[in-house]
Amino acid sequence: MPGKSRRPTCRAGAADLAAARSDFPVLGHGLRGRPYAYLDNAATCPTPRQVLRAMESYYETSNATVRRALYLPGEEATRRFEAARAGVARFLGAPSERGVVFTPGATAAVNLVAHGWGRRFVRPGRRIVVTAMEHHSNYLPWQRLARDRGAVFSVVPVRPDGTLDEAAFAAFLRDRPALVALTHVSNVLGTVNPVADWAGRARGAGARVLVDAAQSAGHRPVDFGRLGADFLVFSGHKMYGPMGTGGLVADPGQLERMDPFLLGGEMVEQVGRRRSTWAGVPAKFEAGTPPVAAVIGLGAAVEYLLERGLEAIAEREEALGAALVRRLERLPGVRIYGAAPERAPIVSFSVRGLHPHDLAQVLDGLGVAVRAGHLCAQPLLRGLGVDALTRASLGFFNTGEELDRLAEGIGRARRLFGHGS
Amino acid sequence: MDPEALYQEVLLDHAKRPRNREPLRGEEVLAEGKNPLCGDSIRLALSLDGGRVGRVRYDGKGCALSIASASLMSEAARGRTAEELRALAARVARRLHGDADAAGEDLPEEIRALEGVRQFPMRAHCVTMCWRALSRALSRAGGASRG
Repeated sequence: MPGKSRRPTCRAGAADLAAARSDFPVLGHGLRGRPYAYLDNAATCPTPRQVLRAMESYYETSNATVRRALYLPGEEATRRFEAARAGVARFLGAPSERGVVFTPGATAAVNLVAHGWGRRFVRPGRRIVVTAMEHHSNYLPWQRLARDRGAVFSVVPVRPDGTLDEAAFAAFLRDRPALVALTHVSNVLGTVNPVADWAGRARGAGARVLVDAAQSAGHRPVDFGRLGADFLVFSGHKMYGPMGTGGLVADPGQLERMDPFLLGGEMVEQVGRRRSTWAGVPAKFEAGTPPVAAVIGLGAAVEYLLERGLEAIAEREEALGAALVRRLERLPGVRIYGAAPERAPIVSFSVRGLHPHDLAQVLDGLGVAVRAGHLCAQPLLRGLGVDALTRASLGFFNTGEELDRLAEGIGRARRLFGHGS
Repeated sequence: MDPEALYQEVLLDHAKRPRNREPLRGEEVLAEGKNPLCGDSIRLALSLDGGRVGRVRYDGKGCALSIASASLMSEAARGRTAEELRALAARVARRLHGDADAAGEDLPEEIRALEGVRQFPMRAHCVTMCWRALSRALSRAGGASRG
């Protein structure tokens, strides 16, 4: 129930999670006449029926703006919208509901921090630290900020095993950087970074810390306070919510010191002739009419995940991920990138003699959906010496049989292009 | 269409045994093409004899479709005039990138194997990269011979 802390009466086991597959309408359609093996969860997760119903119900019964309408449907919309905020705050360990800003996604949230905090507080000559495994969305805003503000842009390299170079990080901390921007889980290598440890060290060196939780929120427990971040960004559609949702978690006091990003309705207090004053937080950062239905859907996604239990989900994902690596390792000609000690079920690989696009195309024909390309991580792929990779990324609803189909598909593609079995 | 039908015999043959593909020297290269999304790249060289293309040669790397397209293109180019080839390149682009109304007729028989890509719009860029490079190479070659 929105607004109340929830303890599920029964923890979901592996069988329950596999059965949860029927919660996802899109998985039931079949692909190219075969059962749909969806292995691209790092790109986006399928959306459960519970989330779809919540969104449809809003449009059918409420369909009003939030915070403004004085009639009952408006009050109802506002109640459900703010209940979603409260749910997200609890889910991600935010200090309070005022510390959750809704944005269209993690990308917008990073840009918001780069603009609202970075442009105001990063002085010329200061250092901004990112890592070579960052998604473009947590790389480009800092690259531009550094250029605009005359700051030093430093990139922590990735080691051959897919972990971050700790010595380089330590070296960067020595002159007290302004910011460290770090991904919790790599969308290419599946590496789970030691965020709490690194955030602690970064803050000890006087830096602010931004954690990109796009690949971790909804897949393993993520707690803003325990991670020790100043800013945490997440993406709704990567945690079984709708596209167009996501946000920034930060201390309300931190948000108050920042400049707004977009200006317009909802985020303003007094509009004067020459000057205007802003609303409090988080409203200051939520200009315009929000995607109310989608945010309510996000709230439903949080409830859905809490009912299934994040620990159970994380365990299942870990088991599936290990099975995926084992399955791929057995295949001739397959090279897996990254081998971090702690790893999400995101595996990028190359197959000798096959271009990722051709492999993905053949797999599509066999009802298996994977991703191919630069995976929005050109600096990382360049460091690995490749232009493109194929990536399989799993959700808790995937099955071992689907991994077998991936392996068979790879074999079939190799034979089609004349590389034996 | 089943993706395995996309990679039917003609395309696979050209992908595995590309015609006219050989390492080029830097100074021969008239045009380059690159697909930043996946790193496919091509470099083209060609000669014009009395306004007609002699031989198109190319090097680079890419997916099977981009290689097959370049191979088919290199064979279709031989003996055609620069204007004919520019028109053909534009026709390939319209046919594969454009909407159904502007698509026009089927591609000529020598490159009809590329028709299958119409059902896979995400791969259109793989196929058209070499044709765009060809248009640029023709402009360069034409300019040089007038020089």
